Amino acid sequence: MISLFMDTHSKDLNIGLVNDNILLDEVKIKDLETHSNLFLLKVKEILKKHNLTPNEVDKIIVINGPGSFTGIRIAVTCAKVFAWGLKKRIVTISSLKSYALSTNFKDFVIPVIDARRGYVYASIYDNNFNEILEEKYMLLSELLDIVNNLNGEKKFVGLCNINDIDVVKPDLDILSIVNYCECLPDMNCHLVNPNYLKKTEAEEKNVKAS
Amino acid sequence: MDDVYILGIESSCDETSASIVKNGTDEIATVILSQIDVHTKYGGVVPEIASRCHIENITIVLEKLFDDANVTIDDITAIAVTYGPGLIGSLLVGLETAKTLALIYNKPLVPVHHIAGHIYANKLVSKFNFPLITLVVSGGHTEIVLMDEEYSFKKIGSTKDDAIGEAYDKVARVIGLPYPGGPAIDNLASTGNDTYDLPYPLDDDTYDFSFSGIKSAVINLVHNEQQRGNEVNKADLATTFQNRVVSVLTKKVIKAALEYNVKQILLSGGVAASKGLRGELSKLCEKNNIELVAPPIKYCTDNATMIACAGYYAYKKGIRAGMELNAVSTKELTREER
Repeated sequence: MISLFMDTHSKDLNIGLVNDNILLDEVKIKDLETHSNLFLLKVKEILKKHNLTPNEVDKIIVINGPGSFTGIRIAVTCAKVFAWGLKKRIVTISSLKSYALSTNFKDFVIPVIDARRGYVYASIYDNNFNEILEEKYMLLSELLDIVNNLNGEKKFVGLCNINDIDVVKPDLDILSIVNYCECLPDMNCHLVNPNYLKKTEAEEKNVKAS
Repeated sequence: MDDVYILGIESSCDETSASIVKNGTDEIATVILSQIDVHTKYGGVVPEIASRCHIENITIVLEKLFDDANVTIDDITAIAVTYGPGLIGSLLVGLETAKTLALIYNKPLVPVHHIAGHIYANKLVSKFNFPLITLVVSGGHTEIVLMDEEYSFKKIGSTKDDAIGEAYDKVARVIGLPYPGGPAIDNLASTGNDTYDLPYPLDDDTYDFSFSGIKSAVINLVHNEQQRGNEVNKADLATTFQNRVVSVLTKKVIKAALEYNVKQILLSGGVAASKGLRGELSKLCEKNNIELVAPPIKYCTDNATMIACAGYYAYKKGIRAGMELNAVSTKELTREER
């Protein structure tokens, strides 16, 4: 079974091609200003390189956030249209869980993404990948209070600078992520959407006003 | 010759739309999902909300389109998409959709300028007789474009500041009319009298426009009346405002038609739906023996039918794009879109 992994939730572009537990190939490009002029070009190239037509892909795995709103939409749009157009299986996975799956840790892993103004997107997993803290948009200080109360070795991974804490930059382990997604149920492509974890500013103001 | 079916996709602002058009003129099916209800409570389009709505709806719109159409994806010759100008986040959803469809079905991808789309909505009702003049009036554009041949655009004048639709929306907001302001003012204008003292905006010999002055004049007038404790007669103000802008728009477009010796004027863009503008321009065209063409009202606002119409002529001209095609928020409609 051929799986195509897609991710544009941050400035990094990640594409992977997996065939039955073997990573056939991957494209990883760091620090892009924009994804839209490159992403599908790289999808096309990786398929061509392996003599695969789009129709020979069986399943799409896409990271649907949290992260850059515009960034997430690039891969998620391509993924859902690909799955819709060729009636392929599709699943989504969160960026935070992907970081956890790509990290070696002993007791707890804390994936974290800077959401600006003192806020982060974060979650906490134990070594069985149980969600100790459900992923959410929260104050960094609130996250650190929760982490301080955990007993065990704690490892931060993600895209965030935190004073006095070593946050490991994530390097996605595409094979581990794709293998993990095997246990997730397929989704209806129409319902595959970004998981922003945060309302738009206009919606927040509207809630406050009412 | 084989029929050419173009699948068009449009998402530049707050309408998610897909359409199939045969040979550039025959609409096979169209789906337009408007987000207007979502944005009304914010008094205008919120770009991030628009982008979020587009991605939630895009495959639903496509599925409905093929359910409605009596053709399949195998019949589609090429995929045309609005790549700009517009809201960048919104454009990207339609663009990535079109590129993905082009990739998975191995079809040519045709980039279409949003304004070329508005102009080509007129193909749904008329043949083009070149050379022709088109007046593009929308929320983002106000320009006079000369066309010597198919899919060739030469801008001879444009707004120096606000687009006409922006001015309508702003004036509507100031006098307390609901969003979107254009239709609200147009409807009210037919009921009032031209009683207020408002300037004719950039009433000169050029083909350029300026609407920020009259917009400010309306704002000042309303504030002054409020300070004096006087009630503004909304209908009269709407009538006066519309008379002034329509007067200058029609005068300049007729002047251009006479100077360039054209026998056809196309009205294009969202404000082409204005009854006031259509009525006045129609009278002047008749007087000057010029044919006036305007799209059906439902194709004046953003839709993918017009993108598929324009996409056909762009396709015939050999205009193509690859997977590297990016969205652009601002871009001039140039002489030849290649």
